[in-house]
Amino acid sequence: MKKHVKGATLAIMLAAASLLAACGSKAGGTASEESIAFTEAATEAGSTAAAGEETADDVNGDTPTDEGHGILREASVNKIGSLNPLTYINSYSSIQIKRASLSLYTYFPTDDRTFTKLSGELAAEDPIDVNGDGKVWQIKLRDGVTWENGDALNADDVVYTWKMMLDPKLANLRASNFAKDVIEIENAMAYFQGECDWEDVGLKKVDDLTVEIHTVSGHDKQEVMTHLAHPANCIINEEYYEKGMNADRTETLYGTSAEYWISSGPFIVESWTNDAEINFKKNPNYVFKDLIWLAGINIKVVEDQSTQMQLFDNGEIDYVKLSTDNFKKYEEDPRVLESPANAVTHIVINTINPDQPILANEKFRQALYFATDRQAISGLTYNAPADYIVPTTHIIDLASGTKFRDTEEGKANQHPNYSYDPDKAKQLFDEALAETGTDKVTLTMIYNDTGAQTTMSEFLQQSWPNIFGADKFELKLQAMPSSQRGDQIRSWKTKPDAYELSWGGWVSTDLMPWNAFKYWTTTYSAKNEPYLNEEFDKVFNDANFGEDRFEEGVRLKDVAEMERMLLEPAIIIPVTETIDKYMKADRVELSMKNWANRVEWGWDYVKITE
Amino acid sequence: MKFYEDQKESYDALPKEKFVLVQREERLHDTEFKTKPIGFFKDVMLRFTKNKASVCAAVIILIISFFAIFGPGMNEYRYDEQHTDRINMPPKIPAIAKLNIGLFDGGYLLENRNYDNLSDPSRYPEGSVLEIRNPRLVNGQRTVDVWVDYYKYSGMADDECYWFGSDYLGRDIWTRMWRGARISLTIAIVSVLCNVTIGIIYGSISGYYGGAVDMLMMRITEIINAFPRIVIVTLFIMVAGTGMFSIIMSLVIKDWVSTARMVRSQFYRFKGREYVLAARTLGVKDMALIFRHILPNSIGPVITSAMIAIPTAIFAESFLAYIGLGLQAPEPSIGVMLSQGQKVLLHYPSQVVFPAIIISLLMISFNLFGNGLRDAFDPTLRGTE
Amino acid sequence: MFRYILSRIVAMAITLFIIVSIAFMVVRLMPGSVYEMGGDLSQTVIDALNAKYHFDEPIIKQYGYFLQNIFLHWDWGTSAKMRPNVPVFEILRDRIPVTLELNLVSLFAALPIGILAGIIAAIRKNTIADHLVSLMVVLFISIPSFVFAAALQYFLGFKAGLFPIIYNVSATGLLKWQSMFMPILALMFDPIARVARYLRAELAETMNSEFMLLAKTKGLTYGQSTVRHGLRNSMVPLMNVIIPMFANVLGGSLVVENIFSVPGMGGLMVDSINASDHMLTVAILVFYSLISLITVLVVDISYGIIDPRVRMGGKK
Repeated sequence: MKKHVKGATLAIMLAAASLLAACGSKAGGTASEESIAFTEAATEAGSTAAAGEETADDVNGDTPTDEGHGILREASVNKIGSLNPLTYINSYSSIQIKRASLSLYTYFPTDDRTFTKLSGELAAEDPIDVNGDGKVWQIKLRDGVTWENGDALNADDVVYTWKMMLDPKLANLRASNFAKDVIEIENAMAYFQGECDWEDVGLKKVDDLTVEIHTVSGHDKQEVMTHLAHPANCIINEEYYEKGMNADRTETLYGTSAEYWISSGPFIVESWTNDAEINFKKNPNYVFKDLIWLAGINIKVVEDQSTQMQLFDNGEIDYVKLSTDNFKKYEEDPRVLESPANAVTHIVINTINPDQPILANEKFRQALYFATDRQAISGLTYNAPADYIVPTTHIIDLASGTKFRDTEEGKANQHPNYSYDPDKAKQLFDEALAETGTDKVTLTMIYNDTGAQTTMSEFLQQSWPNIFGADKFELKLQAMPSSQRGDQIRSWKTKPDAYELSWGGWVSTDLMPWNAFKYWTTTYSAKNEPYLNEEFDKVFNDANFGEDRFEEGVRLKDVAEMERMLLEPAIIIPVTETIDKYMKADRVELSMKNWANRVEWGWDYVKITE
Repeated sequence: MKFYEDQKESYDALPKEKFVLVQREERLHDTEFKTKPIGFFKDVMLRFTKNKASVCAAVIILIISFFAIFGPGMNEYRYDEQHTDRINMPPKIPAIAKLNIGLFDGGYLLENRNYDNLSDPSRYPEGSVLEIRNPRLVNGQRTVDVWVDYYKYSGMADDECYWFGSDYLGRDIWTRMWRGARISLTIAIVSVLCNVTIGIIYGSISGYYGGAVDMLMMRITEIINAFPRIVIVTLFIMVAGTGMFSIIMSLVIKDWVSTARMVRSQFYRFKGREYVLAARTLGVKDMALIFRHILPNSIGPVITSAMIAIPTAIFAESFLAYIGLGLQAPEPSIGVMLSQGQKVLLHYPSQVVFPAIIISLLMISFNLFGNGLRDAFDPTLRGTE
Repeated sequence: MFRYILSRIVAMAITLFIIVSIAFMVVRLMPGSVYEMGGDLSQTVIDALNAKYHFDEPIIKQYGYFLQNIFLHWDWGTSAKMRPNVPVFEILRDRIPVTLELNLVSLFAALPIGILAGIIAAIRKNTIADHLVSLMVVLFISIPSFVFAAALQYFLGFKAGLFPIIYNVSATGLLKWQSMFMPILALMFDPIARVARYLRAELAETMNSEFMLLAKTKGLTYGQSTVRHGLRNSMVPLMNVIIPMFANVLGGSLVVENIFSVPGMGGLMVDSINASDHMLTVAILVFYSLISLITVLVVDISYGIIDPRVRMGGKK
């Protein structure tokens, strides 16, 4: 009864049903349903694209002004531990460091705002290969770049940054940056360990606007630029760095509070309350100030997800990342921005656990691989199923923007139904039991009791025994705080029985998928699983350091090969790909046409349209 | 000034034969008690039953305990049975749904839906849409909030229902809640029993002997008190893994201290009393003095605080669950369900409301029950709450 | 009394030292080493960092360095993860004022309400007023704070829009107080309930004593006798409840601070344990234990001073 009354009221409110049918994309539903009137809510006026642009032009002008227009208000669950690029811990800090500092190279949106490009920020141009062997690179700096206080920023600052990064007494966390990763600098680690003088290190100043780096092996400029675009390479200020230094020169307070910080990047730190709030304003002297429309960014730390949601609904923040719980409400909302899947979550397996010899059995691990119902899991967590390792967004060739998963080689590692095959799994499981002579398997999985891991673990706890038989297989769950879990997993080197099963993820190196396979090489420092395979190391070295790696298709083949080497014996079991979902307020107009690697939605480049 | 005349001499002069016992031949007029003398505990019972609030609380505790034992078996679901196609179902009880009062009828408001999808029977099965609210255009898309019969919307048969709804894995909240109540109560009762035992012994010794012994023993309690529960839990998790044992141990290790302190202060109050001195003069041993003569004075406060400690322990357990150090999944507890529900408070309030009601009821009734018991044990404090 | 206080202070110092030692050992024994954190750190750098902070040496030696730094330089170490390179007590110093302000205001607001409610309940015992107070007490105590705080935020902040949804760090003046209102309110429930409950019980007990009868016989009304004589007597044991509350103002509530985004002490302990920030964890432990020791001391001493009938420390 009630709904009829309501329907009638609505019908009276507006009778222009025919007009609405015209503006709706599809005329659906019965005639009585069409009598419902759809109006733009008053607060959301001007939210359509056309109207948005009109207002935008009014307030923002044709090109960005030095002051910019409008403040982007963010809420974050993370805290900025430190703005010191040499010691920061979490990647969230590095985003804020990038906002307020310059680095030699960085990622910008392309001119058509559909993809990302890597180009010079402080560097005036691409690095120059001096000798043609790819070992000595000269980098020209832009002239007239200044710090926030007007001091010149030149080659001295760059070299000072490098020197401090490798300082043996300071022992900065990010000194790893010049250890052998993408590129290796001559004598960098020797200096770090106090074995040689600074003059021997392959990081030099040529003149006030030129620096030079010497690498151990030959590289192409792409690799050099990628490496120097890492947030750890943000330039630090000597005056402030020394101001925060203690008497022994073993610690510095640089970047720990507004007092010990000076900006040079697209934005300037205006005020900063540690662990609570940070306010940026546009840097009118930034090299690419024409890219920045915003007058500033205001970030509040809000740890509680539902508080963030309320702030967004109340119009107090401009965009919000939707948690699994919050997403359902906006499932069909056209304003939701869904990023493509950018990180694969997988199960890590301790194959050398002496208490569980069955984990060393390849058929058993494959049984787990084929028994994982990835589609059901992703339905629960609103993520994408994944039976592969390299995430969808990862680019195999930056110049053409080809994604690895779109290539033939990438597709070869994917299987129908996302590798969910209960019959095959059961068969493999029975064979594995027969081979090892076991009657019943009881495994323990350790997980973080936060977010998706709980759901996924609990799901597997029921679905695996359903396939293998509850009398033959049991999965126990053990919750643990995240850092302790990581430590527990990685302690397999000293305690082979440290864990049985747990969760792991692919750390984003979306423009160099071949590099991220280092997690499974023999020499990697923080290995999750005891996978030691010389074959694999060889392929990895081919892809990363091999002579022919720049040739067409070599890396593609290597990446596919490495992925296959991990997937076939089920060294790890990929489960889902994370899809980040955002809601954005109507007052924010994205400049990006779509999500792009590194730049993502380009929040720094948005316009505020009111 | 003289108040009285000393007449002793004149009294002494009276002949002794004149004094006769009046009642020598008569029976005593006092009658013997017809009733039987009642024992201490019977007395306690009598006094307790007079207190209506406490009796009521005791009944509530009994009812909750009844459901904690039999509730999980009352419907066809098991506590760890997942139905991934029916997650986060709203509560539905057919008998109440028929009353049409808008409660327990499986109705749910789907917000921000695309109006054009409403006619798609694969998304909205026949009869699932009950009401359309708040039609509006969002970025040109016709958007509505839809009040649906969530059971029809999810394609469930009419006779299937979750009485209290289902959680993020489609598990029945009714079953899980009562099983959780069982586990929470077990954790609370076991830990409180341990606390009381340790606390009484420790507090008695410390309070009775006083001096250096007391000084030392109290410093030890201070040291224990200094370590927050989360540190102790983390240590136990390292040794024994998450689970009931770690939680109980962390509750025991911290919480006996307050019992001990209370018992100790009771000892200070009573050990100087005359009756204790008398007993000591008669050669009663220390142990007997402690446990027979002084300790019974503390029973009332100890029982009261133990009763209050039970819901407090349930609270502490829920705090541990809140920070992610709860029980081993899939085992539920009130705390686990509360912290799970708090995350979706705005979307599925029923997931937090039911466990919150249970924990509140437990808290209230144990408080009232404890007060009643205390009054019953110690009549001098009667009516003081 | 002076001798007693002195001996207690000495004992407190020794206790604190033991706590510091145990805290150090316990934290080092907890799983999670500082620099084994995955990510892209090279082993050389991890080794160098472990050497720099002596994490690679036996725990007894580490303890030696730790004590040496404290006694020689009053250096409690620096945070490694939460805010790298910042001295640990500086982190506490940043966080304490916020918590202190909120908790003090809420306590000062809650005490009069709690006392008043307790008095009303005791004077008008078994009337509707008493039952209302009892109901309030029971509700405040029995509903979990995360439900309470979240509900406050949702209904007062979000739905009604009366107050800001979260605490505003940078605001000043009226705006600041406005944003502090809801966290303060959420923090008030517990002290109100506890004071009201305790006072009612104490007052009711005092009312039964002989001197109250005397007060009545000399012609005072029920209310007068309660406030002049009963209340004064009940205040003594009430101090035992109130003093620890004042000590707790430095503690901070994890749940309330988390929900209202208050950058206070509340979540610091959990965060630093989760981040394996060892030195910070030790410092927080020491800080909390210092508070708890001082509280116990103040309560004991005040008990001895206020109520000489219960002297502490006597022999049997």
